[in-house]
Amino acid sequence: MSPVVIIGIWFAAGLTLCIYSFLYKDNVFYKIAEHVYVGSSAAYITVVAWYNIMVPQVIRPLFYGDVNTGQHSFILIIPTILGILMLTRFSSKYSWLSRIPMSIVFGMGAGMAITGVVQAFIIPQIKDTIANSPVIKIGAMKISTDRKDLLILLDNKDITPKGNEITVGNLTATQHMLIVKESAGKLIFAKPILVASGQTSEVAIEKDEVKVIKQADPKDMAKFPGRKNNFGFALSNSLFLNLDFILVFIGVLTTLFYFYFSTPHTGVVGKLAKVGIGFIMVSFGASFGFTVMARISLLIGRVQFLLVDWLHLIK
Amino acid sequence: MDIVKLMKIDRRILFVFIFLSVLIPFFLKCNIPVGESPETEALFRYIDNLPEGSIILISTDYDMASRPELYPMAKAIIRHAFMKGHKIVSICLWPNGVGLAENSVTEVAAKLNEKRPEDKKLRHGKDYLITGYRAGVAIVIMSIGDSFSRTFGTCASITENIDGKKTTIPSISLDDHHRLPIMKNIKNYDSFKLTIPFAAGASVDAWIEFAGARYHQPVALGVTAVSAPRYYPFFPNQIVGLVGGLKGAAEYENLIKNPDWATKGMDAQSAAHILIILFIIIGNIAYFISIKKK
Repeated sequence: MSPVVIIGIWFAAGLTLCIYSFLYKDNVFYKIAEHVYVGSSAAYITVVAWYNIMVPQVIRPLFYGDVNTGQHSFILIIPTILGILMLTRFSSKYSWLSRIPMSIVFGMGAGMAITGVVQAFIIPQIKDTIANSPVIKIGAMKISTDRKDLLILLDNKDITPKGNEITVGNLTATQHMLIVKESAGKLIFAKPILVASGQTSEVAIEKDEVKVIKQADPKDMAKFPGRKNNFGFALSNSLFLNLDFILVFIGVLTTLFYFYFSTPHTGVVGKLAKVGIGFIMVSFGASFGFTVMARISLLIGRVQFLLVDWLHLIK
Repeated sequence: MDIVKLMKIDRRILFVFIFLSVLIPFFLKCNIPVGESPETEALFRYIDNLPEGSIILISTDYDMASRPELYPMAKAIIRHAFMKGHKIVSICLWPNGVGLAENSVTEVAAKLNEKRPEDKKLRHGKDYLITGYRAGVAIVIMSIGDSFSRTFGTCASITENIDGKKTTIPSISLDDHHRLPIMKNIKNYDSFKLTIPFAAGASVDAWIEFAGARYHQPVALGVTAVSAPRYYPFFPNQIVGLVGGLKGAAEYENLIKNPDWATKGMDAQSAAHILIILFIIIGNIAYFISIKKK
C-alpha cells in the first residue's frame, strides 16, 4: 500500500471519528470535519463539472471544433449565454436577467413532467390497481415429452404428464422454475422459463435432453402485465393472491376516502377514512423501518471501513 | 429498577448500545440467513436469462454518502452480468459518483480477470464502457433514447489494471468503433437489454418516466432502503426487479453465491434491528406504566 493511500485512510478515519463525536455533543472537531466535507465536495464537483461538461461539451466544440469532424458548434453559444445569465442572480441590479433561463428551465420541466407523470405514474398505477384482480388472464407453458419415467416439477409442484404433452395455463407473466428429474432422482434439467401474458412458452424433452423451443423475450415480458414471481411462494390462484387483491382494494379505497375533504369525515365516510389512516400508518411504519435500515447500513459502512481498512482487525 | 426512569435515559447510552450491536457481530460472524425477496430474485433471473453478449446500461446516481448500500449491490450485479457474458455500459448522473461508477466496474473486471486467460480478459471498450458524468439527469435519460453517442460524445479517461499494471486509458470519441468495438452495437435504448440505475435520489422517477414508460426499456432499480418502499408498487409491471438497501445487496450476493461485504454487514444489521425493536418495546411499556401511575 502506497504512503499516499495510508495517509488518506488515516485522514478519512480521523474525519469519521470527528463526525461521530457529535453524538456525544457538538464540538470543534465535528465542525472542522463538517467544513472539510462541504468544501471538498464542492471542489470535487467543480473539477468534475469542468472536465466532464465544460471542456468536452462547451469549450472544445466551440473553440477547437468537434473531435471527429473538426466543425465548430456555434449553436452552443445560446445555451452558454443562458447559463451565464443564471449567474446574474448574484447581482441585485441584473438579477432580472436570470429569469430568462429560469423560465426556459421551468417551461421545459413542466412540459416533460406533465406527460411523464401521466404516462409513467398515474395511468399505469391505476391500471395495476385494477388489473390486480385475481381473475386476470395470464400465460401458459407447453411441455412435450416421449418419456414416461420423468418427474416434472413446475414451481415445485408435480405436473407429471399423462400423455405426450401437457399445457400448464394460468401462469403469471414472469419466470417459472422447471425441474425435470428421472424417476430414480437424477436431475436432468433445472432452469427458469420465461412466460409472457397471452403467450405459450414451449419445452420439449427428448431422451436426456431438454430443449426450450420457445419462451418469452425478457424485453417482451416487461411490457405485459403480470404478478410477483410465484416460485417458492405458490402465490398464483391461492388464497394469498386473493387476499393481496382484497387488501390493495380496501387500502386504495379507504386511503382515498381519508384524502376526500369535500364531505365531513363523519358517519360511513369517517369510518372508512379511519380505516384509511390505518393503511397510511402501515405505510409510514414500512418507510420508518426501511429508514432505520438505511441509517444502520451507513453506520455499518463506516464501521467496516474502520475495522478493515484502518485497523485491519478483520478481513 | 423503576422502568419509568428509562424514559429519561441519556440518549448517548443508547448510541453506545447501537454501536456495540453493530461492532460485535463483525467478530462473532453469526451468518444469519438473509433469504431472497421476489423483487431481487426477479432481477437475478432476468439477467440470468438474457442472451449471452447482451448489453446492460447501468447508471451511478449516488455519491459516497450512499456507498455502503449501493456500491455492494452494483458490484454484485456487475459481477453477475460479466459472469453471464454480458457487456456493461456505465454512465453517471451524479457528479460526486464519477469515481464510484469507474471503480465498481473496473474492480469487478480486475477481480474476474485474475482467473481468465489473456484472450478472455474483460477490457474497457470491448466488454465494458465507462462514459463519465453528464449533467441534466432527465434530459440525459431522454437523450439516450435518441442517440447514446451524441449524448455522451466521449468515454471517460479511466485507469485499468492491465497485466498487473495500472494503465490510464484516455478519453476516446464514442464514434471510434475501432478502439471502442462495444459501440458498434450501441445506438439508443433499443441496443440495451436492460437498464439499472443505482440511485440515492429522485433520478429513479426519471428512469421510470422516460426510459421505462416512453422508450419501453426494461428498467430494474438498485435503490437505498429509504427510497425502496416508494418503488415496490412499480414491480413487476413497470420495473423488472428491485434491489433495496444493504439487505437487497446481500440477497443478490447470495444469489450469485459470492458473499461479500453486504452479506457480512447483515449480521450487524440484524443485531441492530433486534436492539431497536427491544428499545421500542421497553419504551412503550415504560410509557404506558407512566400513564397508569399518573
